[in-house]
Amino acid sequence: MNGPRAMASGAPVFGLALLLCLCMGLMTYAHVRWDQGLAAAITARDNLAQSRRYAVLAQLDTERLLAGQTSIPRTRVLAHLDRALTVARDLRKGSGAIAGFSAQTPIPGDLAAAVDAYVAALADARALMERQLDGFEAGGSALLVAQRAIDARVVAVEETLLRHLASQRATLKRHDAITLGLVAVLGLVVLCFLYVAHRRRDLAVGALLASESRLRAFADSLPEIAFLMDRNGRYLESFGSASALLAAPPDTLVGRTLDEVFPAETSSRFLAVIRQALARQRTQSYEYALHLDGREFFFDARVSPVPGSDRVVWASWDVTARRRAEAHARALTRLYNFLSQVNQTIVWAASEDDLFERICRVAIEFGGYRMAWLMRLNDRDQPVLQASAGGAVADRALLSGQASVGRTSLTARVLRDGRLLRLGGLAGDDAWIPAARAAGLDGYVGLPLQLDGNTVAVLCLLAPEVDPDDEDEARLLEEVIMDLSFALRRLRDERERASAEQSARLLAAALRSTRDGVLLIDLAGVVVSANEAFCEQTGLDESALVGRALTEQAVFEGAAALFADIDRALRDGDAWQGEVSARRAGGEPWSGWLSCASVRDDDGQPTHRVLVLTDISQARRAEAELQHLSQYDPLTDLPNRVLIRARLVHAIELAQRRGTRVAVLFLDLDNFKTINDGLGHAAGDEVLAAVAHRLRARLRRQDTLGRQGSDEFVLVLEGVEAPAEAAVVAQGVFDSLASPVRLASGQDIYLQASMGISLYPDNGHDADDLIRDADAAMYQAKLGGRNALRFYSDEYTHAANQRLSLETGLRRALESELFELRYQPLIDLASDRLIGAEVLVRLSPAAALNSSPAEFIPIMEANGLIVPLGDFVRSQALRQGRAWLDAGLPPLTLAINLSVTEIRRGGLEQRIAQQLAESGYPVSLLELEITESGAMEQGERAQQFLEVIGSLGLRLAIDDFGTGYSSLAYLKRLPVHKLKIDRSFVCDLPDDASAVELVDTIITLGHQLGLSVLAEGVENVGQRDLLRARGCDACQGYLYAPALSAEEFERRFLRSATAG
Amino acid sequence: MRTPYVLAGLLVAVVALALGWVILAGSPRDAGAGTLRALYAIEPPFAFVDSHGRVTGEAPEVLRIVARRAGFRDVEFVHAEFGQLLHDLMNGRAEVVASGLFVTPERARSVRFTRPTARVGTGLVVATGNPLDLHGLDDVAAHPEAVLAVVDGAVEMQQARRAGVPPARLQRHGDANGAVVAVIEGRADALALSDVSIGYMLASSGYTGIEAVAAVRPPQRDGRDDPGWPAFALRTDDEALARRLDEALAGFLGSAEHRALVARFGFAPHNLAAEVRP
Repeated sequence: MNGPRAMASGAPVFGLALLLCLCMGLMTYAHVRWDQGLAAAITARDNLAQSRRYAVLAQLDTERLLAGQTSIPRTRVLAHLDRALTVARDLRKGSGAIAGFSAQTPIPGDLAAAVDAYVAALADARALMERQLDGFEAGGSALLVAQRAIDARVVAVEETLLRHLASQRATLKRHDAITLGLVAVLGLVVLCFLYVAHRRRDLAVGALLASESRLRAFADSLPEIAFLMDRNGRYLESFGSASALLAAPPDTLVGRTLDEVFPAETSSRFLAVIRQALARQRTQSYEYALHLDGREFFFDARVSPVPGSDRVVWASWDVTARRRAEAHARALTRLYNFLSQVNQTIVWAASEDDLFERICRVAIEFGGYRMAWLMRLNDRDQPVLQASAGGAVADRALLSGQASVGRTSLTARVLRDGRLLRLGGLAGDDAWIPAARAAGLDGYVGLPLQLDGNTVAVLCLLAPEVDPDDEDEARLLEEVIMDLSFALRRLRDERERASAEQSARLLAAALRSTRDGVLLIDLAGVVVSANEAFCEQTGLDESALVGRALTEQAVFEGAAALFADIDRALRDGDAWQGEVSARRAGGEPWSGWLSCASVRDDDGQPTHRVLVLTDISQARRAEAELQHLSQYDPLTDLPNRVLIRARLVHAIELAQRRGTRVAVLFLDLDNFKTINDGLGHAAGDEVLAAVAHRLRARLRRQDTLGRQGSDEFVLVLEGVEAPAEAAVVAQGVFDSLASPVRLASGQDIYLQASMGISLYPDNGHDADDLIRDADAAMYQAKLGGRNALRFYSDEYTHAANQRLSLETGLRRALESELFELRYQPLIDLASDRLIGAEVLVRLSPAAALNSSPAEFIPIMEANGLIVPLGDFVRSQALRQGRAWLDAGLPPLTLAINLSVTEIRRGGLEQRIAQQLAESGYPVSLLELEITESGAMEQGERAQQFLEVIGSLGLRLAIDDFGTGYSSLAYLKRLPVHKLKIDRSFVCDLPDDASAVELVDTIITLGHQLGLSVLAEGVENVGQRDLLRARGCDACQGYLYAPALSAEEFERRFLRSATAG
Repeated sequence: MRTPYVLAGLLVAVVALALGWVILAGSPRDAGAGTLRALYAIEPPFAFVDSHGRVTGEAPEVLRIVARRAGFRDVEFVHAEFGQLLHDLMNGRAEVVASGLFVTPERARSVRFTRPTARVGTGLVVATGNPLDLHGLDDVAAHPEAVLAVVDGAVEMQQARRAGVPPARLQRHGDANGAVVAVIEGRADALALSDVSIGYMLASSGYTGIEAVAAVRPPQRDGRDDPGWPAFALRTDDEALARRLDEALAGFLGSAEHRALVARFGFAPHNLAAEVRP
């Protein structure tokens, strides 16, 4: 395809083409000439014919006109002639057209002359006819002459025309002959050209055949194989001598296609290569592998397109051996790399976990393994997954499941054998095997890692392929095992060392920071070390201690004996401990608890002794305090009940021996509870402490003062000759309490006390009897009106028994409702009118218990019966009040007493509200009375109760006002409406000036607080008048009426009021 | 190797094409000379020669203006007998027929008509007083002895045949004058001719003894009026020329100039073919 050859072969072709063009040009020229000639001839003849025809028509018409046919218009004649003339002129010009022929060529001269003559004749004839038609000229002869002239001219024209045609025809004949000759020449040239071309081709084909047979011989002698294939992968030819490398025998191969010989996947890859080579028109290199006779062969192929066809030459070389060598070299390189990285990792790894993680990663990155994990035996000798890398089966559950670590697992096998295990194909029940197979991993390598000769871990590696017979690989993997085992040992050693250091540090720190003194001495008693605590305890410097014998130090009292004892104990056993007395450097004594033990070396021989010294001085002091506390009352620092009894027992024994008496004084402060409740327990404690102080001052040396209970004190007087001596002491006590106790708050408290005395041997012989008797005597003194002294008598025991039977009777009376209500009128002092009644309770005579309210109420308060009694009283009273209202009697306020005990028990407000609702008695007519001390009780219950009472609209009266302590501020906050002056103030009226003053003050106080004031226990007119004069609002008492039964009350006060 | 052959082949092909074009294209009668050759037959008022020897009439006058508008310098009128008009046209002796030739389906098969230049109805000429009381071709057909004169080859002849006039009573004449003379002389009882021809003839010739029938019932064809549509005729292969003329006609027909031009030839406004032929 080079240029010069193209030009060389082009010249004859172009010559041929030019010749062809020339022939065609000549033929066209001949045609044009023929056409022109024909057109000229035909149009000329036609023009001549037309001209003659219309000339004749004109002549005919003229003759008809002349013959008298009027229907012929004159103009038609002339029109005919005009047409004849026109056509004749066309003939002259050589123009004309008929039936597709059209001529526009000038006519030759002789013809032109003839036509001119004809036209002239026609013109003459027209003029003649015009004239004849106009009538200027007559006679057919002229017309005839003209006609003949025309005919003659026509003949002349025709002859000339025909002659001219003949000459034209001769010219055309010549043209045709020339054309024929040219075509003949052309044919000869073409034949010659074809001959030359044919000759050349024959020569070329011969050369080609020779070349082809040479090439074929060449190709057949190739040591490898080659094929000629078409684009569909059909084998067209096969070359080469290595027929063993063919997929099929060579004689059956040709004519088949790739997909008939190879599996679909392989053949489609081959086809793609063929098509690529064809599409790019370039030789393609291609590498592939084939399984032939069960062996894998690798081929390098070059696929070259055969130019100008859709065929390719496929030449293949068997490179199997080279590939295998390369692969082996690569594998070894990879393993060397792996080994090198393993060693690096070993150097860098800081811990086993770190090492394992890194090793797994290195196995993936550098070892060419796809999956790596490490199983390590735990403390119970069970393999546990430590690390893993690689994604194929990186499922913890799969790797560490029972099936993967059980006895039959690969891991267990490697652990058991302790040898490198390599498997070319996976077999076993391990849970991870299916996943590995799915990922195309069939090769397994298990590396046992050893520590102190035991296999402790397995590094498992998975690869797509593992050759168990590869000795080089085995050698390298053994090295990996050795290195890793070494690393395990190194890490273990490092860990142990670090742990030992750490524990040594900890021990040292513990020794330093312990509060116990620790001392290390050698067997000779020389101090090796002492901790800070020991130095602090003993007050010695460590420098003063270390290096010197402990016995030289003045640390322990009786050191020589002590150490001898210790020596003895340690020789026999391992330890000694005991309490030691020590002395600090400053001389201060202290107690210590010393523990001493032998320190033995690895052979069990004692080398040192360790002494641990604990300071127990504090504990000793605490013990002593506890002892004191158990016998003394902490508030007053007086002997408590126990010590009193012990002393009393002691005193009794003494008195028995000496024949003297022992007196027991039982002292109880009056109204101490009121102080406690009203002023708080702190004030109470203050009072108790003050009393204890005063009493202690009264004591003789041999007397014992103790605190028996809350406000009870006991004095044991020894060496008493006569009861009167005890009375003297008692009087001294009264005296000492006479002056008020000033509290820290500045308040003065006046104290009273009741005292009972029992005597040994007069009243009892043992301590408990004496104390009980004194207590009973004190109770009698209280009953007898406080601030008094009583000696014990047997009657008191009787009284106590009576009290017990009374309590039982009261219980029964309550159950049988043997209580009755009494109503004492409340009178308005200003108008002397009835304003209400106080409800009081009495035992029914049917109860057969001779007991007044003053007696049974405290008992019932003490045992809680007061609560049901209160309910009974209120429901009875409310029912009665309702009955009176229903009976149409005037409404009156019922005042009912409440006990503090009821309030303390709680729930009272609900019960009152319920009772009100049940009875239907108006709330506004119910007044509750509560003692002053009860009102002042500041508890949560009381507070809540009083608030509810206020919100219910009930009225509250303070009973016995003046006998207790009132906080006026607190009183102001309570829903109180009324103060009731205690009868003890009223009974001294009107003569006792101080009583008058007191009552007056109370009245004023009440009014100032916005409360009404009622006086209790008014018995005579004098009292009433004074109260009225002082502004007291109301009163009650025997002056008007004692407590009356309901019927009596109704009769005397309600009916009379109604009547009145 | 291939290139010289391709080049040579191309050369031969080009030369063959050029020469073939020379042969096949031929040399059709060239109108480029600027002169249009038109055929006419004396058929007043459509075409006739006036006393000065000038070819005039509705068709020549319209063609003159239209040809000028279509770019021709001049029109050369060549006379032919009416029966020869189409023959001469088709033989190439002229380019156009301008002679009031009516458009008929038969003619339209062999020639290409331009758009019609007028709408022409059929009229009847009878002896004065209309002795046979003829008012349409059907009357002529119905009368047993009425002879109808027609111009040979004119549309009235076909119309008369369709109306039922037997050939024996159809008297054919070479031109209108002959036919009129036949009526005047009593050889024929009526002459069927286009209304414009009759109007022009009676107005210009001074014939006596005849009259035009007023309100002739238009002859029917397939149940409809069958007016005549005079138009220029061209060869069917002269389509380019026909288009040029059609375009020029479209701008001229119906204009005031047209009306003025043809009024003197007896063309009333209703004869002006402003409407498009159905």
